Amino acid sequence: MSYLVCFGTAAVIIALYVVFRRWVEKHISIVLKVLSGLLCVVFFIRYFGSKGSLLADVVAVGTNNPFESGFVCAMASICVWLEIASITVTEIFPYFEHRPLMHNLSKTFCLVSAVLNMVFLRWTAYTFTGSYGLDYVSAFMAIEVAIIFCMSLHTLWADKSFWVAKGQLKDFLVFLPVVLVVALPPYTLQSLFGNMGYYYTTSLASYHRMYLYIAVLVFVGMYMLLRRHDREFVRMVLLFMSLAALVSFLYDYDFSRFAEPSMWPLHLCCAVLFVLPVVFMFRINWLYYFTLFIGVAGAVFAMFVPNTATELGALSPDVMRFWINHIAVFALPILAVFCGVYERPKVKDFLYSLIVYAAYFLVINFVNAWFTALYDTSVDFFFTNGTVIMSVLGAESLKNIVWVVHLGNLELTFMYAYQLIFLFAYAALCAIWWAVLIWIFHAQDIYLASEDRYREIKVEEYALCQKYGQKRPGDCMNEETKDKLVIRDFSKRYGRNTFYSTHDINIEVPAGEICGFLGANGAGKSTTIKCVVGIQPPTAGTIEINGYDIEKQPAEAKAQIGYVPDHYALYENLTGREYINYVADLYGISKAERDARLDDLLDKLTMKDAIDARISSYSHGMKQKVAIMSALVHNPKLWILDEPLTGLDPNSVYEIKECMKEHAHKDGNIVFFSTHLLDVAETVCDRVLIIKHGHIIAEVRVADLKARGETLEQFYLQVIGEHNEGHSPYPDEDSTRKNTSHPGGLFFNRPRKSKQEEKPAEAKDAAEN
Amino acid sequence: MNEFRTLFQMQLKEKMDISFLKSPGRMTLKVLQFVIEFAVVCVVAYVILYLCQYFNLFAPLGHLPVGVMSVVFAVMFLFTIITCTVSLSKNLFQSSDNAVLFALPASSEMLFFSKLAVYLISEIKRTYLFLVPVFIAYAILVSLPWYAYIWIIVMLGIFTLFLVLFAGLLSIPINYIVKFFNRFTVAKIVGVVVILGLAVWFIVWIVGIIPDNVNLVKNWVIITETLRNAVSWFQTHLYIFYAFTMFLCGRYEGLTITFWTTYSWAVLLILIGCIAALAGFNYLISHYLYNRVAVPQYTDSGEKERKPVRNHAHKGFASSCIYESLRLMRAGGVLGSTLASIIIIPCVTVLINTIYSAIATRTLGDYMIVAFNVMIVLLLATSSNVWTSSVYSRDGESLPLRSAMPQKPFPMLFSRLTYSFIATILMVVPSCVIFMIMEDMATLDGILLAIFMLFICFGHIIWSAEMDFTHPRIEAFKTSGAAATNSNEAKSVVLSFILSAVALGLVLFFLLDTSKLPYVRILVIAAVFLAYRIVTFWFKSRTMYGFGEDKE
Repeated sequence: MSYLVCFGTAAVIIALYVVFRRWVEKHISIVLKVLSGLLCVVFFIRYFGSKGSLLADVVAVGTNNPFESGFVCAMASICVWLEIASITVTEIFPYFEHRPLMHNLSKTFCLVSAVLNMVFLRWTAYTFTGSYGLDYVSAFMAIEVAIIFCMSLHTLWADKSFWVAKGQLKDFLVFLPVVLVVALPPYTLQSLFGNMGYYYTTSLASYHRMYLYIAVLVFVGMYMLLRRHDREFVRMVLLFMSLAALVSFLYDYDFSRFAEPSMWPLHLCCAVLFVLPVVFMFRINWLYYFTLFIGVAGAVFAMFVPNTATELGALSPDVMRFWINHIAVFALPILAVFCGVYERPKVKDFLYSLIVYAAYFLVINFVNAWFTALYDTSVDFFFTNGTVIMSVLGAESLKNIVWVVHLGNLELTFMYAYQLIFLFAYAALCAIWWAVLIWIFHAQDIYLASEDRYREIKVEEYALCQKYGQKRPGDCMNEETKDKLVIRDFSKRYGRNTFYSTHDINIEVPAGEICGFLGANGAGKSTTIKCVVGIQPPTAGTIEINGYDIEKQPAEAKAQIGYVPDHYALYENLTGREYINYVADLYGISKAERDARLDDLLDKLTMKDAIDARISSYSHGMKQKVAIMSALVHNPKLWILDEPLTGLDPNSVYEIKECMKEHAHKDGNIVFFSTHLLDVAETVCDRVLIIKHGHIIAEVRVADLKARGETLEQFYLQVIGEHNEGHSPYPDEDSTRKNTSHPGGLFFNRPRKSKQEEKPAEAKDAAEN
Repeated sequence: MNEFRTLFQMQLKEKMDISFLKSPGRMTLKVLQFVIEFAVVCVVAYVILYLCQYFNLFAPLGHLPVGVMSVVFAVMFLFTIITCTVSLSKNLFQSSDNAVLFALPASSEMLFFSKLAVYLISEIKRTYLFLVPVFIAYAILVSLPWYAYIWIIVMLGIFTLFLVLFAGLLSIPINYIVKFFNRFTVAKIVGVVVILGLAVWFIVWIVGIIPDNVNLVKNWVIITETLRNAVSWFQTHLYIFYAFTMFLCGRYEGLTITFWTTYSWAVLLILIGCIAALAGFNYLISHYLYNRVAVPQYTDSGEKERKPVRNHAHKGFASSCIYESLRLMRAGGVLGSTLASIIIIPCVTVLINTIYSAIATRTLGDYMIVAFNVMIVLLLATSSNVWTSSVYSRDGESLPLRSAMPQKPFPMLFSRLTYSFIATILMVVPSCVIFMIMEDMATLDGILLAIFMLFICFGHIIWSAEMDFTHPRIEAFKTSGAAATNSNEAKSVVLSFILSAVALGLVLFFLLDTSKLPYVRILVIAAVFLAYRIVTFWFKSRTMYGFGEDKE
């Protein structure tokens, strides 16, 4: 008969759909909500109408099996499980029907589950009714299956395909197990696999610890799954989980149990379990923060000191219910705030939650006293009316400090001393929890920032490889900039400074050229050089050395560079030779090669006698020479020197100038150096760049100057003088300046780019993809 | 005076983060933090003193004589004077900012005293976070009147001034001794060997006097009698500390304490006199000696005959490990403290296990012995690695240079920890072997326990180093070669305590647990911890490493 009801209901719904198709299609959203509402009512009546499932007593299919075979029992167990999962999905489906995940779950999982339940309806109904005849429980169950079937069929009809689209498959495969695990009835594992023996699930025994680990894993696992999804998606999943946990919790409730006040779900964690679906459905801030501060603290406490009976099996339904309840109350509110469904709490939110807690506490104490007096049985919701916690703390004498109130014929007794201590101690516990929460938020911020940065690096790497035609990360990316130093639209701003140290710099130095970089102190020379060698990251723009991008291929780019810094802070505890060998090792220079080069450099720079002494004992000039030798030991394509001649004796200055010329003219290397010594720049450089306030203001070839009979000093002073009112380091102030030109040199002043333009377009595209 | 204030403020800002003074919110938080720390130390001290009183450990009839506090005071005095002298010797004479400071138009005594004043601030902070709460706890225990609390607070502040001036004076000969040892390597080696030999001899002597059978219950009366005699001996022979403690806390007359007698005022006068005399001596010495001793010297002219050295080639990571370890070994202090730890930790293990083996224990006791051994070894080993929380910042200005090398951040940063890893192995493994032999532990269990401890220590090292590159303190190390208040080091010390306590809990918990393979379980937990630390280190080295951003 139940089959008849099931198919009949399905037929009626389909017939109605066919007849009123146009109207239904027009109002499909309302129709789906009505059907889910109907399903909810039917399920509610059936669930509380039955005396619980016979499966709750089954152990590993073999013991208390109500069926003729183990297979049928197992299938009934699985079908009941699938049905609860599909009911929960179908309940929330109309509210999130635009979500591909819900569509996929509805048309595949719910449909398969409905079909299976149709096939095994006789047996699944039996587990709730204990007979094969038709009563209202089995009839309602049949109606549930029919509604789920029709709603899933409609989704399938609308989507035209049973299979999950490729792009949505990952989400589907990830969240289907979540749906199944979360909607697991507390008795299913015991009925399928047994109860794992009668071990303690309290006192931090093995199985207790196992549940604690599971609680943490559920939280961490769900966070990892949900953290990158949008808030609505997370809210949907949390709503689903809270509903499923609630259904699991109520597995053995029936209408008659509500007549027994001590069984009402008024303990803090039970109450919070009822509140959670409301919170996720209707977004009620104050109620949510109550669950976050008060509920979670209670759940954590309860998980460490569970009040489950010790003689129960580890997978017995009561133990499972306890853990499903508390894991949900612990994990879901934290997940909500961590995944952005609710904002991080402020002081006022904490205070509101304390007010709600105080109200709950008052109500519960009144209910405890009232029910205890009314039914003459000890009612102890939230443990405020019993001696459980008192005895744990060894303060049982508190129970004698009471206040008796007469209400009609009833005598209400309040253990006010204990209850007041409880109230404040619990509030203090919540405050501690808040402090922990703040610490976790801080850790989350660091984690997310690191993760974002990591993704950014990967996206940029990918974008770079794509840009230059499917190259691998270690390859030379840009063949056009090979044998060149190319700096494009480069800007640098330190930390949270409002001004740019350098702004919109464009430089190209070809092979075989010695390029001087002139400017006053603080003009931006060292900043530019530090960014070129990879010590500082550029704020905007790109720097390519020999075809390698310093930001995206740092190791490869740095391998092209030899750098002499402006200070002489070397590794003072090493000898000169050790330091140079260390640098040579990092550049992968063979022993023969380094022997030859080092001998040559030691001779040139007259350091042979001192090279094996500790650097700490060197004079400034000797340290500078070691820095130069270490920069040249790998024969770099680009040799960068930051004010290299400061403090050196005339011989050394001459040697270094010769080294620079030789290095540039040998193998087409590049020498790029900053200096304040205009005469040195004039004698050594092929080209000179002048920087002021972070902008390149002039560029000139030394040969051109000579041809005009002008000295570099005259040119420099003229250029700097003309720009005395020049550029401001604050970009907004000079963005409207026009390009100007100067005889003999080219002046730059490009319009500033907008913030969006600072990010490479290809990286943006890749990020969007 | 204006010059002195300028010098003082300049150095204070450089060495301590006092930016919170400008923000009322941050200042409130700092005050709150201070109050909490003060309260915690106070409570802990109170509990310990209360237990001593409760068990009539130092006196019958449940009271605690002032003599006990004089022992505490003397130990603290000794400890503080050593640390002050060593720190001041570095700050006054070996600090790299001397080169800049001596170029300023200020007299050498002004520079000297400005440095002392800066140091005094950090020392006062230490006094108020440890010595004062301990004495306050005592005051609460023996119910001293309210004005005694103010007295203790003010007088210990003045006493800190005495300490710093005294340490300042001592630092001058110490500096000469250090220079002597630095100049003559043989003398240095002999000195280290002698000190370590004395330490080992002391431990062996202690081990020798431990009886074969320690029965606390049976010998309780003898033990308390010995302790009382020791305190009494101390009072008589080291009267100066006893006198000062009485000056701070009053003196017992019968069972009541009297406060502020003529005697107290006399001690106060002597203290003020000593401070004045020390200030005078310091002035004289700084006037005549300071600029000669403290100006940086570039000694090596490279004229020494040296044997020709050949170049050596290594692979990149191996080279990093070798040269970075070499640098650390040559850096002053690190090698010495490592060697001391390598010798002291096994000696301490011998000592505590001799005591344990003399006590008849049941199963629970045996488990507790294992757990406490683990805790003590971990506490010592991790504490000796606290310096890794400034392993990168110590490079100061030369650190960014390393970023210009073609090496990925992870190997570059990780290679710096090789030295600590090796040193930790040398600290932990011998201790474990000693422990295994003395406690008749199964070899496999001992190996697992050693690996467990190594994993915890490695995790601590990696965690500390990670703190350094995510929140570097380069600026402080750039100028003076040291950071007076390094929050990373403070965090690393806290981590050291927490990890040791957690390890103790874990070992005890799993040994008491009836389930099998306790050592495998704790090893798995430690492996997970270490793996997590390595992964986060790798992750953050890729995403958060960037010393350049330090400059704002």
